[in-house]
Amino acid sequence: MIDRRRFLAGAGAGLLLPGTSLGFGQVTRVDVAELDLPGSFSRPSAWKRLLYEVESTTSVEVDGKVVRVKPDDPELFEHPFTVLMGQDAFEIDEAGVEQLGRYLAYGGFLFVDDTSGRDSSGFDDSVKRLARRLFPTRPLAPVPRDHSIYRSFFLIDRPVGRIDRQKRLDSVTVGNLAPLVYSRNDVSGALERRENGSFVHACVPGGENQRREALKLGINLVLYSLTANYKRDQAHVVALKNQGRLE
Amino acid sequence: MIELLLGGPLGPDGALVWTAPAWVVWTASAGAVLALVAAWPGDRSAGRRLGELAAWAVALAGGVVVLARPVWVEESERTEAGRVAVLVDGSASMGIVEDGVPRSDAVAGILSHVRGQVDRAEVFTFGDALRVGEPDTFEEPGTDLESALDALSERMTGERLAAVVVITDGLDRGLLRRRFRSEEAPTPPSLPGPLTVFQVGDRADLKDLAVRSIDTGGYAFLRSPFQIRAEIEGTGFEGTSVPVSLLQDGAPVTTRTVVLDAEGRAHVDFDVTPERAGRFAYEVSVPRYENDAVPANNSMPVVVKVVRDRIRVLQVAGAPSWDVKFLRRFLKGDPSVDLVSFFILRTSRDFDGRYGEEELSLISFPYLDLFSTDLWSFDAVVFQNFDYEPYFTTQSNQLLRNLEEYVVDKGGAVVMVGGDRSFGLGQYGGTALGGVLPVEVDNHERPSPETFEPVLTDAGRRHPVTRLVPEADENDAWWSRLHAMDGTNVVLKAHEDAAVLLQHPSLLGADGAPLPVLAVREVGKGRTMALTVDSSWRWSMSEAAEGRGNQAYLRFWKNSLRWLMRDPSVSRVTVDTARENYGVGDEVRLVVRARDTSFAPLPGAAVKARIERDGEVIERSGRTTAGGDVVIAVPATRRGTHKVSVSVSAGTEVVGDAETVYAVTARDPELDEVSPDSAFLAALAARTDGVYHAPGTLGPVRVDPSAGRRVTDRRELALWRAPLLAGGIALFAGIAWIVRRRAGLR
Repeated sequence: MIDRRRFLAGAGAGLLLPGTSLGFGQVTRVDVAELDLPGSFSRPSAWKRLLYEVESTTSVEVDGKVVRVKPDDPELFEHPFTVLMGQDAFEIDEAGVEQLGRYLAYGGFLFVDDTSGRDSSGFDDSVKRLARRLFPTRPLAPVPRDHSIYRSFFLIDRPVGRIDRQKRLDSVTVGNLAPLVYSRNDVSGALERRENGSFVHACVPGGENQRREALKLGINLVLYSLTANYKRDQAHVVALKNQGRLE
Repeated sequence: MIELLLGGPLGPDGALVWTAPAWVVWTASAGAVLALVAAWPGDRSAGRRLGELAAWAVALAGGVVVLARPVWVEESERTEAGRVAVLVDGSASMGIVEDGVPRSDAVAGILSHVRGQVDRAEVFTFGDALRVGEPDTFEEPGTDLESALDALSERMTGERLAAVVVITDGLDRGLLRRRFRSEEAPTPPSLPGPLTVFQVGDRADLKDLAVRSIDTGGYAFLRSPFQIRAEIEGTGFEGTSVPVSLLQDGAPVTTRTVVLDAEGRAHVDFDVTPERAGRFAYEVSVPRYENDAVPANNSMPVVVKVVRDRIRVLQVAGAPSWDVKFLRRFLKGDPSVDLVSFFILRTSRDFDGRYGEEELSLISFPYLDLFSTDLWSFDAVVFQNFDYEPYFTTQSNQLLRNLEEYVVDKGGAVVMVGGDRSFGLGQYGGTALGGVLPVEVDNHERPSPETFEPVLTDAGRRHPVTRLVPEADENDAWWSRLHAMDGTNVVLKAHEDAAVLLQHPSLLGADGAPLPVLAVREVGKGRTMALTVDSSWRWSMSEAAEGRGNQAYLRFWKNSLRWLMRDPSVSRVTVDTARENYGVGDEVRLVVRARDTSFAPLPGAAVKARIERDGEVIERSGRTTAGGDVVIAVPATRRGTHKVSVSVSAGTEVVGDAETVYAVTARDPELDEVSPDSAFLAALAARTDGVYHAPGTLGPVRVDPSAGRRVTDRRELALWRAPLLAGGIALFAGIAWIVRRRAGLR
């Protein structure tokens, strides 16, 4: 297990170092579990970068590790934030769907990232099938503009990633929560880095500004998974409107 | 002599009346003829035969006369003067003291005055009913003049009385006075004679300050203002200022001064914000001045039931975490909880300058409002890995003292959940808030990062917070299978008043006892809870991973909330009554419920109930049924606040105690209103063409000279029993028998 100091030291020098912690309860901190399915991507450097940004920008304490977990592995329940990336079709067996559904029902969060950059992809088809199997009565639908995802930390107008094709996120809503959020703009692609620290992919068409927005979206996704609809509480809505930062 | 022979005198105006039925006379006559025929045969001389038969004929005729039952009847008629009925009000209001003497003292003088004017005055006493005779005491519980007059009419069976005299203070509690007050042309009561009213009691001599009524609206919501409105009436205090006090459980809350209007009336509103749920006894009182006619009506009790609308919970987290997320998820999902969350999303350590404020969706943490003005509106405050110092700064002491007051004095609940900003790591040692926690903390704390499985203590096995399932063995099994914790705050030790429910399996506190992990404490009026870990969320996910849902996690936190809120469902013994306020004469049913350690109904338990009112104690006992409950009935006989305490035991085990309170608020109606009603009495007299005499005036009784009655005297003399008749029959029958025997016949 990597501790917080080593994680921060490795993630980048010269950046603002949050205050030190005595480190109790390390394993309860936020990490990322990549869902391990045949054909799915693994981009640990992207998530480590995101966790670093979360740690340095917000009060959230993170554990810098990124793990891969199969959907039918009980270890899934150790990691309330999971991601699934890819560009091609994937299959998931019934046991995996059953456990993934239970995981999402009892507090887990799944961010699905279509990295293909295409209008239609096998991955997209598979995601939609998976969503129907997980939530037979609830549609995968666009996330409204006033949703907490767009204001869980940053105020976000446009949920971009490496690309800027889809103007909105999709989600499945259960009650007033969205346990599954889906982007087709390759958010992880905007964050993926090489070992030397440079980014793997260029962000189009917006370049580094777009990457910055993608990073903000990533931070919001982590914060949303931690705070759910907190930002829909009346106190926040009224205060933000009073400050003119929310219509 | 003739009177002796007839059995009495025969008046000259009398008449003979044969009272036997005709068939008796005819039958007797026929019998007599047959007897004569039967006496005819026999050998004797004609003279003897004639003499015998003549004698028999006289004797038999006498017998027929006896059987015809002759009566001498004399009748005479005369007219008597009309009677006078005097109705004296014997109700308790007549005993009210005015100017040092009871009103009733005037009755004797009025009676003497009436008797001096009229003959044959018959005195009755009335209250709710009419009875013959003068009142011995003035304690009748009601006054119903119309019923009394109806009863008088019925008693006189249509006889016209020369006069009906009523002696009263006019405080009629029946329909008659209400009718005269509310209607322009009220129907008068039926009177058997002309009415004369003598009023006793004079408002000018009366001084009485009273709390006439209290309205609370029935019940109130916790931490929401409600109004107690009291109607004040002061006879003899018109236009003056009167202090009116509100007391709660005998202790003064506030005092308001009101000015009574020209009729001596005023109302006062007390705004009350209840800080705890349950039943609370309030009392509104006015001063007892010298010569107060009825001191008993100077205060009025009322019990108000305070209920929770929803449990208001303030969740403050030093940083978002899985533990924060899952607790919010539980609280937000509970429809009985009104949750206000504040999460610190960015601290001073997180400013890196890359993002402008306008990009952020952050608002400032309104700590000052939250922990000063708003604090009192919450039922529970949860500090979840929250360190106060960076936010409270120079106001730390005051705001932490507010939290202490919120718990100790206001009955609030505080939960501190672990993390690297909690307990000693949050520098709570030596603070006012730290002083009310169930654990003692050291600001030099070094937390333990080692995973461990918390151990359920003996207290934890019994306590409702950690009772996840009713059966003890199954409860142990539930706890033993729950996910391990990811480290813990290391506090010094449990507070001596605290109950440790979960403890560390190996670490020890400063007192050498196992390190507390979950502890609860009752402190002052409030309750606190300390959970020294920040990974209780794992109890939700680990159970879900095993396909067992998240009941363990939900029940733990739901139990915690219930205990913190003093929910009766987490008490083994409860006592309740159907209502908060009763009237005199009602039956109060105390329902006592007892549960065993697994919170299952406890049958056969011994229940002792003690009801106390102003030092007067009633004790009752009972035994719980198979359903674990028992109903104990007590009569509501005296006004006032009644405190009920019950204790339940099963064998040698003390199961528990419980308390409640109720009020008997309906007062003696005779003393509710004490000012004599001159207007009513004057109107009554006018409406019935009668006479009204004001207090202190002994005027004439209105008499109807034509009233009276015709009395018929009837005297009867039963001639059939006259000695003369019996003697005659015997004489002639004897002669006939002798004549017959001398003729040799039988």
